[in-house]
Amino acid sequence: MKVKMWGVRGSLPAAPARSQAFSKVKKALESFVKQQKNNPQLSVDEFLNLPESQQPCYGGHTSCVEVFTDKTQLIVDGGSGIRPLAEHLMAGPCGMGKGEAHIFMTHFHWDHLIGLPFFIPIFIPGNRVHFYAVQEDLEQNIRRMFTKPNFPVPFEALGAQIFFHSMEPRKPQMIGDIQVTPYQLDHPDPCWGYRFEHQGRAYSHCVDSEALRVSRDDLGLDLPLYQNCNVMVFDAQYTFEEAIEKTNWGHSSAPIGLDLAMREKIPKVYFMHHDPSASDEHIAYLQRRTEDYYQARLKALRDSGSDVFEVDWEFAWDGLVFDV
Amino acid sequence: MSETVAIQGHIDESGTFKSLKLKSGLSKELQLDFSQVKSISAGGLRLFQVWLAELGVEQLVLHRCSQGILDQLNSLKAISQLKARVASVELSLKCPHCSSGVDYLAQRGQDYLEGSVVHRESLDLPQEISCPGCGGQVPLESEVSSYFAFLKHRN
Repeated sequence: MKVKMWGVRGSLPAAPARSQAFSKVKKALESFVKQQKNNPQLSVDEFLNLPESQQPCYGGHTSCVEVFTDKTQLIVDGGSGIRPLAEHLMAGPCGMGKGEAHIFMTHFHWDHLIGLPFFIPIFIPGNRVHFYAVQEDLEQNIRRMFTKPNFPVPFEALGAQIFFHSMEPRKPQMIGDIQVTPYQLDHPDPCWGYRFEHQGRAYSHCVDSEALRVSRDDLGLDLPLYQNCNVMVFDAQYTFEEAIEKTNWGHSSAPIGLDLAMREKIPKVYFMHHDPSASDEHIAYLQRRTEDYYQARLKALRDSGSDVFEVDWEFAWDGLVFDV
Repeated sequence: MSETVAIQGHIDESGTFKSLKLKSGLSKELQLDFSQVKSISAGGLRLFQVWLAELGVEQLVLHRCSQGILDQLNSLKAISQLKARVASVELSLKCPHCSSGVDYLAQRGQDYLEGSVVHRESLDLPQEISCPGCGGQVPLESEVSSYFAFLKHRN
């Protein structure tokens, strides 16, 4: 099973302004000139050949994640990241009106819906588009996206056949060869994360969430979302102190995600739902702050003789693909 | 001055610190001895902050914070969030001459002071202290200044 992050920004799409792009190019040129002084043979290609995680660009599309195997392709949320995913799908059966898309909605805040009117396969006759959610108002919320005067094409005129599926809380459902189970997250309007399982491996999608419940007791029925999981994606919109100031805004911080991952022994964590106002430099700053917390926590636990589980973690970017 | 209460173990999401025995009629200032605190997690700090608010604590004073605890508090910028005053810091070093453990209790007002509207933060630790084992000089300030990052984290 693999996962591709098509949109990792939270709240609102965030395209870089001209000044930000200019500043980035300037910084890169200055860095190249500096490095070339020490190594006159350095080529542009060598200079640009940084590991992907060191390239300072996280992207600006809102929530959309693809979970797939050789046989099954699932989508979580319809944020603006679903537009480039749609272009990708159009190169396959969806482009010929023979495709099938399965879209799991976590909740219906705009940033998770805003890309749906630009999901091209939904306009193509012959395609079948399935929407899934725990919330009872799934159909009503999807229909509203295709309503005049907000969007010119009414729902009734969409070419694809559209199906709405109601999911039961915490009850697994097989879609192709992937098992999907919804668990409740902590968000001002009801929001459900998903656990995807395939061939004994599990991916937990835990966005959007303020993660107000962290202890096993408090998580209760939703604890399995975090247990025996190989990869977790977690909401880290804010710094820890911002998240405290913004109680009940519905978003968390990376240190809280690391607490959960270290306790439940989740080996890999990606953080997403970056704040729309966060520049790439700010997200890099959040990474450094998170590293300080992680190292301090590891040391304190080791020094006290406690059980220590090391977690591999990073801040996700648009286009990131990982194995589960 | 109000009574200083010792808090022990891990401050984490389990919230065990809530069982701390506090005298009834708690004043708005809470003095906590942190020398036996082993670790503080982000989830624990969040709960701790809620607990303090429920108790009606307006001024938290922390005594004998270890370097490890300060590392964690600094990484979360927690001292300013808790609006806490760090009354003392337990510094543990190793003598470079005889490898003995050397301790120094840094005191607010004498060795360091957080910034305020009238003065800048200051760190004025001795450059060196004597090793009780061999009498050799143990460098201090250069080794431990990073633990005092909280002095700059004032709101």
